[in-house]
Amino acid sequence: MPGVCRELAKHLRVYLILARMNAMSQLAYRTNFVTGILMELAFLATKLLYALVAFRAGRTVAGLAPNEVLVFVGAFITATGFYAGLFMMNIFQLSGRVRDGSFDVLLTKPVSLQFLATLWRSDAGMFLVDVVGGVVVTFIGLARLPGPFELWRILGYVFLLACGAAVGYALTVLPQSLVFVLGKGGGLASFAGSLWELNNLPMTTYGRLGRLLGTYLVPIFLVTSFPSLFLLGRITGAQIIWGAVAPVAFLLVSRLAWQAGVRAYTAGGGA
Amino acid sequence: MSARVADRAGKYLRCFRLGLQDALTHRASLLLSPLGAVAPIILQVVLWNRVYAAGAAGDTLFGFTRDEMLAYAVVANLLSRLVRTGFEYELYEDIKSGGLDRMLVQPIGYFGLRIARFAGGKLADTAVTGLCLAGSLVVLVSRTSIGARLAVLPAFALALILALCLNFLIFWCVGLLGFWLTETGFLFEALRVVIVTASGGIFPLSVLGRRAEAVLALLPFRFTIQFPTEVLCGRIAPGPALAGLALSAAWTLILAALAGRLWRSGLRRFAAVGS
Amino acid sequence: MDVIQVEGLTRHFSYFEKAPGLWGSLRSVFARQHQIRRAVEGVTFAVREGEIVAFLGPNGAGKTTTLKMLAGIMHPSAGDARVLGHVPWARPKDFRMRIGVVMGQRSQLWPDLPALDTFELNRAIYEIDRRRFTRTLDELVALFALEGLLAIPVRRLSLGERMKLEIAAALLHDPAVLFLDEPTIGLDLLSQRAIRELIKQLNERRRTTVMLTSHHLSDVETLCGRAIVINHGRIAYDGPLARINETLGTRKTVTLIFSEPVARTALQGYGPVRAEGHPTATSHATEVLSVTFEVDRTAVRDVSRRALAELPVADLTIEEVPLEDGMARLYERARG
Repeated sequence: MPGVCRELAKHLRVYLILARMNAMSQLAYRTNFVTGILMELAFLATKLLYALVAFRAGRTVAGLAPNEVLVFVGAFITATGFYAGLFMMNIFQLSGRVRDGSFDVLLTKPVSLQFLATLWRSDAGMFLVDVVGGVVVTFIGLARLPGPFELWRILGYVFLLACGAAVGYALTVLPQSLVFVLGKGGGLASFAGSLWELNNLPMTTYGRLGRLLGTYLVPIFLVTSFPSLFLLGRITGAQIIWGAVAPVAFLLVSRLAWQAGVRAYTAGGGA
Repeated sequence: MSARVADRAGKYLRCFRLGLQDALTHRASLLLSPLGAVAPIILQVVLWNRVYAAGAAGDTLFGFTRDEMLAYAVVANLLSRLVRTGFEYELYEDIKSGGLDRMLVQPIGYFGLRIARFAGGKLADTAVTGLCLAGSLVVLVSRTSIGARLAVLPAFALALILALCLNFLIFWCVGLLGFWLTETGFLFEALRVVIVTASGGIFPLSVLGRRAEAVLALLPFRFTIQFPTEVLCGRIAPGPALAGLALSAAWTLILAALAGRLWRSGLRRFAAVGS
Repeated sequence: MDVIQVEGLTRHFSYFEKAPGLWGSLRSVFARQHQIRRAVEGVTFAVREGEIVAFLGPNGAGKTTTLKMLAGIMHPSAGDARVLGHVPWARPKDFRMRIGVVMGQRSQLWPDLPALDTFELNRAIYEIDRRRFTRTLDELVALFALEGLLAIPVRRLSLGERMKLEIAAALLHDPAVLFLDEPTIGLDLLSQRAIRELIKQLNERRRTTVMLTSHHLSDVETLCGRAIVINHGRIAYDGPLARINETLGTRKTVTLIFSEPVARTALQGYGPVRAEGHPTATSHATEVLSVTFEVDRTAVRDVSRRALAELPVADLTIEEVPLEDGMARLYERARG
């Protein structure tokens, strides 16, 4: 047990160093940094368009008031900060690294290979734009709704967001494991990305089948809908439990998939 | 003279085949690329169903009935992928790396070669997306109140061709910014998002509000996605459709002229300053 | 004691063949042809602690593949190996903590940051405590002459400087075994020599076992350790360097390009001719426009001086005899 704790602490330390190095590297390219933020803001605006529709139509959407939809969209924007800022770059770079050989060296390091391959790069700029933007949007939506701010609700919201981020991470590792078997991963990565986009709308807008699939099979709704439902006081007990348990289950499944993928790579035909 | 023409044609054909070969080599991404349109389509179909359900039947919102809006969502998203470019990055790279030097001798040749290569790569993508479009139309016609009017097809074909040319020229101009900017970073991507939104590629422009819609009506962007979509969905009567096509053609010419002007002044700056 | 033991290591690759051209691409969408490449075939050898071993061989001979298997990057198709008592491809943590890997073409240094930042990252990865880290770093800075280089963003440094830092980065945790894949590739001659000196000193000071791959024969000259020559996945020669030199290393090629045709008779006494170039087809027998001689290493200077003095030389190039040429001879020697 202490060994595991030590390893976790080591990985956390390495991650913080990597985050710092990434940030410094990016700041060396001012234009990229600034235009990256502009791009992320542009994407943020397109996400808000979905809430705009609800406002302009002046109607409830699946029983949710426009301001409530805004809360959901805010959570989506915040979660995108994790996806775009922390996970996405690594997904897109993995197949390239496998092909040019820079992945090989990672295998020789005394740190978790999955950790190095999936979390090596991060983009602090995009992360901050989305997390801060998302929190602002959520706050605006929440403020325009009746009812007081309750601290325990906010804490629960943050907790479920973190669980959602863990599920999101696991869901990005799964397609990456296929890169080892399929070779070029670009198409797969953008497909995974489009699944992520489905969170732009609250899960209640989807039909029963969609809700089931998105909660239990490919639990994308855990990432943004669950925390929002909690914040708005619309979540069920069963959902809270699943929201806390699912990350563990999916992290495990994704880890197994990753290990199988790496085994295929090191033992296989050498794609 | 004919030998030179044949040689030139051969070069274009080679570029076309290179582009096609490139696309075909990446089997998996070729098959998956129209999937990128799936998420927005699902999102919008779900959204509109819910929003219209909250009102009376036969309601219109933003000038569309429910079925018209659903048709718009599907067609616009697919067309958005169809007219998409991507060569602006390569064009920018060419300008930056100085590879343009060899192309300076034949300016028309460079433009033509780029188009050929782009067309080759696009062909594979277009075939797949085109199939999806045809399939979705069948579904739409059978499941909603949208009628199938074959009469719109010639107008649509024309509008689509003009849309492809127009979008190509718009992003050609974007790529030409490389002459003036030392680094662009993610600027192209940011611009692309804004342009697609202004083209009606996400929601019809009426969603953005009356003022925004009025401003955007003066710009060429709506002819790349919104206009062909509405033509195909039969929302535009023959008279206005013809006027729209004429306007679309006019914008294409204007942008071609702009591209030419930017190209020339950019090359002058390039030759004087270097990359 | 043996630090590396390799027994019958074998590695096959299966790949898909694609016919060239557009038709081939179209066909490949539907059906592809399956082929097998035997990269490494039954390789056996052992390395003692503190030895420097160079894997030599032409491109595609199997050097890098063998190295990758020993570093734990790849599983063999058959055979066995032990490095520091561990099975490399099982990748136990203790194994990974005690080896260092540098791939010549792939830099591990972050290009936009000073090397010192990457060093700090390595310090955390290899769990080196601060005091030991500072001591090792100071030693490496002195040994490799790295003063002033540590604070400059890596992309502003020359290739030779970058390679020195690359190797230094791999040594921060004082590995017992260092794997170097083509460490001198792409470097100018002076830098190549500097890197070789470094490795030699390192080995002398810290008894680090070094395995490096190369297709430059001169990589082993300074290191004067042991050379294992690999060709087509099999060991062609395993032994001290001196014996290879006897077989191939003492020869160089001198290529002369003339500004006007030179009569054959004028080329007597330079050495055996490897290649010739002629002004026209008809003058084949009597005149040459260019010629390549094979010359003993020690005689290169005299031959060049004489050629420049006596012949209308427009261009003179001195190169190594390609390793491929000597392979046949090496095989014979190994057998004989």
